[in-house]
Amino acid sequence: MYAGRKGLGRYSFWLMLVPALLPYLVFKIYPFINSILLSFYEWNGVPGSPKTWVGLANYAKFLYQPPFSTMFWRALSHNFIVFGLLLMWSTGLGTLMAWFLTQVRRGSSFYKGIIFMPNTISIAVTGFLWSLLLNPQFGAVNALLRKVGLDSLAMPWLGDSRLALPTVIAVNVWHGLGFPVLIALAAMLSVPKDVLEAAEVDGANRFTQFWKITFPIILPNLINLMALNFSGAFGLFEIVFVMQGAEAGPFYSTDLVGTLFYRTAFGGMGATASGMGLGAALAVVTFLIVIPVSLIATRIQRRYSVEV
Amino acid sequence: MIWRNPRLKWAAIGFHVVLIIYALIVMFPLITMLFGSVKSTRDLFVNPFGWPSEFMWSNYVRAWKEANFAIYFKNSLYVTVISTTTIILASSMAAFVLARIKFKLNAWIHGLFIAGLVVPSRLAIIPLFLLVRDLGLMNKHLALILIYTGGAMPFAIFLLTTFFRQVPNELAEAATVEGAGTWTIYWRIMLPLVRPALATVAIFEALHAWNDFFFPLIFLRSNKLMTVPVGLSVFFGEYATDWATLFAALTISIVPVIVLFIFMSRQFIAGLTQGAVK
Repeated sequence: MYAGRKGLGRYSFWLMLVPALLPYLVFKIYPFINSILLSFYEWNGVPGSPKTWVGLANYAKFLYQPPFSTMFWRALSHNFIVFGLLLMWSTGLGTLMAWFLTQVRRGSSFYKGIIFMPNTISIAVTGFLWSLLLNPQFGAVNALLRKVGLDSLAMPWLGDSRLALPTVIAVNVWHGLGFPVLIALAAMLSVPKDVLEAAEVDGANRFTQFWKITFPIILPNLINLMALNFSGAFGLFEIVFVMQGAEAGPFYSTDLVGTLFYRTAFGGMGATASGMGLGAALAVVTFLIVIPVSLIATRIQRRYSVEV
Repeated sequence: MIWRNPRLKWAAIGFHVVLIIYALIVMFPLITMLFGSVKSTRDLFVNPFGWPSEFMWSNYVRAWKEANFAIYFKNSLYVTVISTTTIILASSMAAFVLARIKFKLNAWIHGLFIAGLVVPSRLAIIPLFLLVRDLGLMNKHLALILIYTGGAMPFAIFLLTTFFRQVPNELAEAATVEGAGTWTIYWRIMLPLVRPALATVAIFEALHAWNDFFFPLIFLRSNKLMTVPVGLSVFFGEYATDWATLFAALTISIVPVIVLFIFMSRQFIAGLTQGAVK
């Protein structure tokens, strides 16, 4: 538009693109493409050591050759459990909290601020904090439960292989609940007030108003939140790493694709790890699982938004 | 309208009760941490969440000096400030060019940036690790700054291009008539007009750099270079039994961000929600 000058000056705007393009291409796009290429090789990553083309062998190891396939399917099934927990505790509870916020007349911005606050803390720091609070002997959580007479509920939260995964996810939800609350709240506030008032005049109570009017209108936003829960489950790493270690204990009961990926790439899988190519294959598989869900969710959301 | 009916009033009180209970669940760990940070370790084990029986401010001195938190804090500040500034400058220049200048590859380059929105950076950590090693950037803050900058471009450019496009054309045209060049139009006219969007990008990316654990874990080796979250992990290994100092260190890591959030909660919420939808 304004690049009307003649000669070389016409192209000077390219100089303004370089500081963005260069780090983006080198540190984001190139590693991504290289991930796909690396997944077809066997290589330990040490410069000068042999890098052998193995075709799809790395993928085969993950999909049906123990011990890697055992680890992969176990981690993947944990990811789906986490997705289920997030549907209830993140999208479900978040929507409920948002609805409560629309029903109180005073203090809603105060509650909103408090609920959102943990979101500003580093997820790793959150994990360190809660690992102290959940300590079975000296932690504040069990001390509080004992104090109010609920001794039987004072559990080894992080040490029991059935409790550990839900506990870690609960901490993750404590950290992140503000986000679904805000998204659901914004969607609920976009519901036309006169429609709700008309329903109330016709005798609909607030629960009927929610189910028949608000819920169908905010459904596309909820679907979007669910899709974020799905990709979010695959992005989880720090919270497990910090609270349960790289081995995702006890007995791998909190092992997710994220922690398995870390161990494959940076060690901790024992002498059998063949390193970089195997890790890259796992990254590509994860990418292939996550991307379609995100794309489908965007499509659904777009179609609904047009109709409403 | 809502208060007409006494039954509805009781329902409203019920909603408040649930919200207050959840607010307490949010506050309990943070208050326990604050109290714990000034207790003696013995007091902490006898009385894990109550009011401190005596105030041990020395816990903070120990965390800050002996446990290197002064250094971690300085490193975090350095990485955050440099990468946020770089991100703001690089993305706003590029977004300005893509939004306002017609040239052949414009749509193509814009699409290339937007495509990055669906690419999770961490999945490419293996080639990224090899790249950083081969460039000799291992154990250097520059590696983090470059990775944060590259990774921030899709969202920053996506948001800023939308804002730059909304600026009325007359302003820029008038400036061109007065003889202003591309740079002057960007720096003097356009940039001040998109300040709210710049604030959104800055808050989201600064918080991301300040809070990030993953990339420093992979790329920083020496203790002297670590940022707060990874420094905390070293500290948790060394001082595992000294809980009071651990709580003091946690407080040092958490409180600055929460104080900023209390003063700028609207900007924080805008930055974090828009950033996370990407």
